[in-house]
Amino acid sequence: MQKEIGKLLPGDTVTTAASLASQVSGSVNSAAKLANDLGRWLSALLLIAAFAVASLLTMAAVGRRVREFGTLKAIGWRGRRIIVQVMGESVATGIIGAALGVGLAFAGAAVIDAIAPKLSATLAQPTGEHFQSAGPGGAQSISPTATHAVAVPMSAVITPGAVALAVLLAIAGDLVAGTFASWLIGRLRPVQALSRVA
Amino acid sequence: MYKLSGVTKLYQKGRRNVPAVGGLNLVIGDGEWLAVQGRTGHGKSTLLNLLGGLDPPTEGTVELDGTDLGALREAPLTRLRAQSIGFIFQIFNLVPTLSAAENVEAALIPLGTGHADRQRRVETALD
Repeated sequence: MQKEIGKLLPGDTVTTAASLASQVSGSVNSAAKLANDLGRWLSALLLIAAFAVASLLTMAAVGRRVREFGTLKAIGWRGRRIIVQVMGESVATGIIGAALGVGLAFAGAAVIDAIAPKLSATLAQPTGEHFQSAGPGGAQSISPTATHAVAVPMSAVITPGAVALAVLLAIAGDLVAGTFASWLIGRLRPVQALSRVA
Repeated sequence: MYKLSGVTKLYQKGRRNVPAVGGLNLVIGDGEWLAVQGRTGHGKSTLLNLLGGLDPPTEGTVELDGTDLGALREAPLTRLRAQSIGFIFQIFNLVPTLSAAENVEAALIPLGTGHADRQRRVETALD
């Protein structure tokens, strides 16, 4: 029919329902891909920012404890022992932070599930029946369709893999932060640390 | 026993080198008590830092039982401080997150002593 109409009206564009549907779904797929890519880049940027903030806060905490670390070095603690302690504190902080973060994620997902709007889509499906009608334009074949509404669920899904990844990233972030702090401690000279006014 | 030979310690103040200790020769025997007095900024703390191995001299040598403290690298110097030198700081320098007993115990941890031995020594020290 598309070809016939195209012959009758050569200057016009003929679009069938199928081609229109494929264009729309193609656009929707492109939009979905764009949203996914944007989300991925945003997640990466947020992760880098979180690592940077954790590192800065850990280095600030070490800066506040310079006198304490200088005292420990003066009484015979090797830098390596102090670094192990600081790294241990960082890992413990990471584990606690991960636990809190996972808890918040589950709480947030529960809230989303509770308040998310109910969306629905209307789909047209052929009934499988065919009718022949005769009219001035000649015989025509008609395939009626039936429409029905489909609910589109909106929910935040938290998978075990996502939880595991979140915990690993939290601990890794604190290890990175602890590494910067360790660098500070390694350069610390007791006499300079002890001369600082508390 | 401490033996200081021609010890000088200079600090940089702007473009000038300020001598906190200059050409000091001193011997402190075992069991001997030494009191150092002087006005603020005349090198008392600097001398204690030199004796404690916390700061190397600019010139001269500081020897503790024949060991030149200025020639030691950081690790053996730290070990020597743990084993042979004790500090009582002017403003205590206690670790605020530790108890009194834990602060005393902190000085014993680098010696590698066992937990029971540390506890016994802490109780003796705090009695």
